[in-house]
Amino acid sequence: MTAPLLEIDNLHVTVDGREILRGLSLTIGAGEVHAVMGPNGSGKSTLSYVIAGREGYNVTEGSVRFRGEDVLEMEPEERSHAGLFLAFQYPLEIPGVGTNTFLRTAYNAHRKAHGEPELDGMAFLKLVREKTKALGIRDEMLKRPVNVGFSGGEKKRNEILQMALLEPALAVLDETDSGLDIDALKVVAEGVNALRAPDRSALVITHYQRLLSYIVPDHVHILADGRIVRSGGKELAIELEAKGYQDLIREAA
Amino acid sequence: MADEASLAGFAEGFDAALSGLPGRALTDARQRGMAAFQAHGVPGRRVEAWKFTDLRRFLSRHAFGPAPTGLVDGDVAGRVAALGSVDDAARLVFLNGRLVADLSALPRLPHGVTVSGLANALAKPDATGLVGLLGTVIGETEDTLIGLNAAWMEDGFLLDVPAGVAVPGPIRIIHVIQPGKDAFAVHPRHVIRLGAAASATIIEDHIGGDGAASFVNAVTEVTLAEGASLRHYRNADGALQGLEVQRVHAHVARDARFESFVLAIGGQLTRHESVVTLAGPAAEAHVGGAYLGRDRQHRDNTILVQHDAPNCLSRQVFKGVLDDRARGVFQGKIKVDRLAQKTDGHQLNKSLLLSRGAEIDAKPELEIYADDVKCSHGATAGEIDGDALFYLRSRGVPETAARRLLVQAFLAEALAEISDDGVRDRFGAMVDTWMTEEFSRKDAA
Ligand SMILES: Nc1ncnc2c1ncn2[C@@H]1O[C@H](COP(=O)(O)OP(=O)(O)OP(=O)(O)O)[C@@H](O)[C@H]1O
Ligand SMILES: [Mg+2]
Repeated sequence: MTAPLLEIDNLHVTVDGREILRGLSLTIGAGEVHAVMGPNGSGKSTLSYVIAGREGYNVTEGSVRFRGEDVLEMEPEERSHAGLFLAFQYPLEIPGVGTNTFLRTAYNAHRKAHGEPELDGMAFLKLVREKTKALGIRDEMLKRPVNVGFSGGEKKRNEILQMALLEPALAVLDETDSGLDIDALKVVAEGVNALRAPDRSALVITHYQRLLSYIVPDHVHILADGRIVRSGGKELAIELEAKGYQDLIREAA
Repeated sequence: MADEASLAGFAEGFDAALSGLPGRALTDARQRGMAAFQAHGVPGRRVEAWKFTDLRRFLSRHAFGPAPTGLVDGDVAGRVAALGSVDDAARLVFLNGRLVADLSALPRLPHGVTVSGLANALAKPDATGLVGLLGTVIGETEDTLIGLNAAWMEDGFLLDVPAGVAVPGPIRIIHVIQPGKDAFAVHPRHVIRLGAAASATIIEDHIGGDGAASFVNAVTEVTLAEGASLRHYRNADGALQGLEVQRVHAHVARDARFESFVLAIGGQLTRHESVVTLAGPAAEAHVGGAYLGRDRQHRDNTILVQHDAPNCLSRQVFKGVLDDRARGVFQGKIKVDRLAQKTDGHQLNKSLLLSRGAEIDAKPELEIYADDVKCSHGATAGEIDGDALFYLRSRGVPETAARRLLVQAFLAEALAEISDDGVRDRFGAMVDTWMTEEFSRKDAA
């Protein structure tokens, strides 16, 4: 087994006093793709937000380590610089901030954090054009404010564009496939697969086996009621498709 | 701690000073002005229009004498030079309310256009036309501060553009307040008149230093004839201890367009009050502003757009950022006369509060007597959007930079109201500078 990139151990998280994650453990090795599936409200997005460092999520017990470092002690921007990336289930809108400005600010913040010189406007535009082309994103989108007035699918593509620019070591994709048409789904999968490397990993949260036929996972986990109740190989997703959560969770219990 | 004696100082010595004030023909008007002032004195919070800006309280802390007639110091001359630009059609510099001829120039003024100091114009033998013009836009008013201005006015700028003339470059007016040891007050009066189909752009820079308090009680009268177009931009970055009340009364005729934008960025107290009358069909008023305040600064924008004719359009867009214990006031009113059918009136005020101690009082008002109109208004106040902040940070943008980007984005909507590209860029750069101070101060704290 490769050295673990992300280690989540016995994680308990409350939101507004309610316990949402109740002893979740998950280890992701370098180069691995893990899929997390689970019923609505089981805590999948909560897990993704805790990893990214969103406010309002109280960790009452357990730990999250990334390359051995305590993630929970880091600011959201530090997590990003360290190589964590979350593609949001519901990407946020930022009125007044142009998408290109947003992307360049983020990209250069990473360069700066790594002691590299920032890219000027021209050089960045060249880079971003390569990426948009590969993802089938129209340049016109770069001029618009971040996600404002974007269709659901455009927002998801924008998330993947950000991932492609920042080249994270661990990408957490929270239902990036929801709301995508079949062509967009392939584009997103290609975007993720293009980043696959022996030292890069992904945590793919999805409800559908379909995405997993494009991004083939090494491990599949079922999250129910704040815990991983079952883990297996890619065939678990197929079994789930056939049986549904109820049966699988009952079997696990 | 209201000190009535210091407020009475505005009337003291008036009779003796009267004969020495410029424009003998104005004596009657000055006396009427003083009577109007004395009837109610400096407005305070008991006066409805001043409910949120208790000027009486601000003024009562100091005893204001007349403005010193000192020389321009090197620092001021440098700042003035830095403000000038090559394409200025004319540049007038005022120090503590009085024209400084040495620093003023009229390099590219078309034939027939008058740009001058008010005191000089009043001293000319043919000043009767000008005297007749003073006060006509304002009309009969019981406003005590306008009365006070009428009583004491000495200098100001005068712009007169004949029909059909387009002034090619901006007319720059630079007002410098150079405080001394003692508090002083000035009452500038400015007059802008554009003939039919004439056009001009005025950029006023209000700058100032640190020192004793100063009170600027300025009145600007604007008359736009049919089809005229005026762009009036003001950068209010006055004296640190400055208290400025700037009133603009504009009369806009058929098909004329009045565009005004104020960037209120410096000075202890600023009140920018605009009264715009859309007097002829298809006239337009675009009245916008951005206000930035910190410490205990006070930023007031008070606007009345009066639709007196059909098919007119008006927009009021004001956005502000307040930190520490700064306080903002927005009073915006659209009044639509019975005859003003097909009025298109829009009003927007948004404030971003960066601390719990910051405050905004917003009073949007519509008063509509016509039945076929389209009017909208809205006022909001809030903090930086936490979700947007997290989104930026999750992408690696440090918190300070993320906050700054969101504040800039917030103000961009107001700055977009400025139709002149150069002014919009310059005001944008000034906002950036303010933001740099703001966030470096925060990082240090
Ligand atoms: N801010 C919040 N306040 C209160 N409850 C919350 C909050 N955020 C999440 N929850 C609750 O936590 C539970 C888990 O939510 P979460 O979004 O993690 O589910 P999910 O597994 O991602 O579901 P879905 O498949 O629908 O996206 C839900 O019951 C949700 O209502
Ligand atoms: Mg979810």
